[in-house]
Amino acid sequence: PKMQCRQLLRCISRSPATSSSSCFGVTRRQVHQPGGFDTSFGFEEVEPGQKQDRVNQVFNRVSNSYDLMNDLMSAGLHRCWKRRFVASANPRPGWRVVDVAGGTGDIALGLLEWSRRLPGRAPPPVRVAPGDGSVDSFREAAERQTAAAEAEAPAGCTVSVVDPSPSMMQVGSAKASAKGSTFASSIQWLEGRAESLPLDEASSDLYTIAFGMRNCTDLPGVLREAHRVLKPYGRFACLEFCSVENPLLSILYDEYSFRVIPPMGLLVAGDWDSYEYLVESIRRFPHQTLFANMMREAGFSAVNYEVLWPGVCCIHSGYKLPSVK
Amino acid sequence: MLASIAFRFSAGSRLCVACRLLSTSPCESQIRGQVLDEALARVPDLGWTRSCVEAGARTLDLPETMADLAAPRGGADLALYFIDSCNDKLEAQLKLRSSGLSSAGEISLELVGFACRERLSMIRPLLPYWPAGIATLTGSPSLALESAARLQRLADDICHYAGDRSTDLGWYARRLAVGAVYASTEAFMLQDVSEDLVNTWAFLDRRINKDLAAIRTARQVAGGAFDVAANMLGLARR
Repeated sequence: PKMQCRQLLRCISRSPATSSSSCFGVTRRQVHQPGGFDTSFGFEEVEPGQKQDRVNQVFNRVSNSYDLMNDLMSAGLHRCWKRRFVASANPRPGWRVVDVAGGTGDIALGLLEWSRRLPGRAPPPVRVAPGDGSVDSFREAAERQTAAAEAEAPAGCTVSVVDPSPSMMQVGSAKASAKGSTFASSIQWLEGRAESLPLDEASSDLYTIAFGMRNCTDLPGVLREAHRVLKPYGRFACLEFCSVENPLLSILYDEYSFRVIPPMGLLVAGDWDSYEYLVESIRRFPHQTLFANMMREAGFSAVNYEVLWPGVCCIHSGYKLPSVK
Repeated sequence: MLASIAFRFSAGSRLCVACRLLSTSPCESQIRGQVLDEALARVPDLGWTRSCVEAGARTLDLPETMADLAAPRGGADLALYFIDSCNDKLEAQLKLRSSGLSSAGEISLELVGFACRERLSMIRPLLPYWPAGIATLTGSPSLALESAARLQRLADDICHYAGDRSTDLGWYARRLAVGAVYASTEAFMLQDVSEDLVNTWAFLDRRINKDLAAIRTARQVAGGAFDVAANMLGLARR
């Protein structure tokens, strides 16, 4: 805490930090760091194999305030991005979806809602018999009929959430139960890493990962595993922060990321370092075209990416086409 | 210099700009073509919608993900594919027709008329549903840009195969004029109820014989003024 307060004061007084390993005045715009993606924890170099443990520690610490911090950091924009991601992934009823690094369940719940209520499908009408005319009897009748209709309606898709952090998934399953038993029963919470998913080969129609790819250690391994787990003709979709092309936005974004987000993390969640790791890990992630090439090398076809407003994140999409004989 | 700009401008419309496809394996474009061809057959029943593309995929025993691959933006991509496939068919026909032409500046009005008639005839099977198709392309600025790029490519193809090899500013005027002729005739055709579309063909003939011919003479006047200015500034290479 004393170290963090010093960092906070330094940040506010706008003088560059001196020699700490994650000082932002000096290294923030450095993209070429020694070592690869699997030995970097933000801007810090770690032993190979240590990165996953450090990441797990971060997420176990921030799980309780993760959703609140997302809302504050992005001013609610992350909800628009995730909704756009779900619309673009377009899960249909009956699909089996695997959502990786989906700890707090935002995407899983969004996918379920989308598949249960595809645009163009009206909600079931409520027919009320003339009862005693009171509001309560109408409400009870409406609830009974909606529950009956939901019981017979197509169940939507089923989602398997895979996350290495049990505490994040606890937050997620609490949210799912709060939404209703039909949602909670369609989601399966599995502990595991993206590089080795606890799922069978060719078992999923759709693979989604939202804001989790930069926390993975071995990107080609994650992509190979995604390819393994998808059925033929299955779809891969990844929502992730990307390199900002617009120079003015890039300057504003850097200032905001390094001067505002860690202090916000300190004030709201009591954790400067985790949020500094999060913004640094964004800078270490490969450029969107490089990541698209990595997807092609892993065997995905029709790979493209769509940058979302205001230009800080993008959706990568690819399909596993059956191999041509 | 102008020729290279012209080439890039016309080539841009051949790339799938919004999707940013950096490489297209033959398997993927084949699937896309097959799914969308089947979907076009179902447009009278289901309209220019995503469910129409899904029905097309289902006919080929492909899952719905292939409908998402073929048409990420739903009905708009189906309409764009329809335009692209008609433009491709027209280009194939024009290549056969114009293999003998080699003029250096004047375009053959007769070939322009033939090209417009052929291209408009390709819309005839889906004519009652085409206004809805055009409507899907007005959904967003990027879609509007893409449909404008298709029209530009069409005008460019027609002028090229009608014999235009010029490298002066008349290049732009000619394509603008041919594009305007085609677009206005298409708009007329959408509301034409005459027997066998005779009014549309008469409209097209008037547009070509009056407006295009008039622009040809005007071009010689205006183009001349531009050429003098360009020469004085040292921009023209003759």
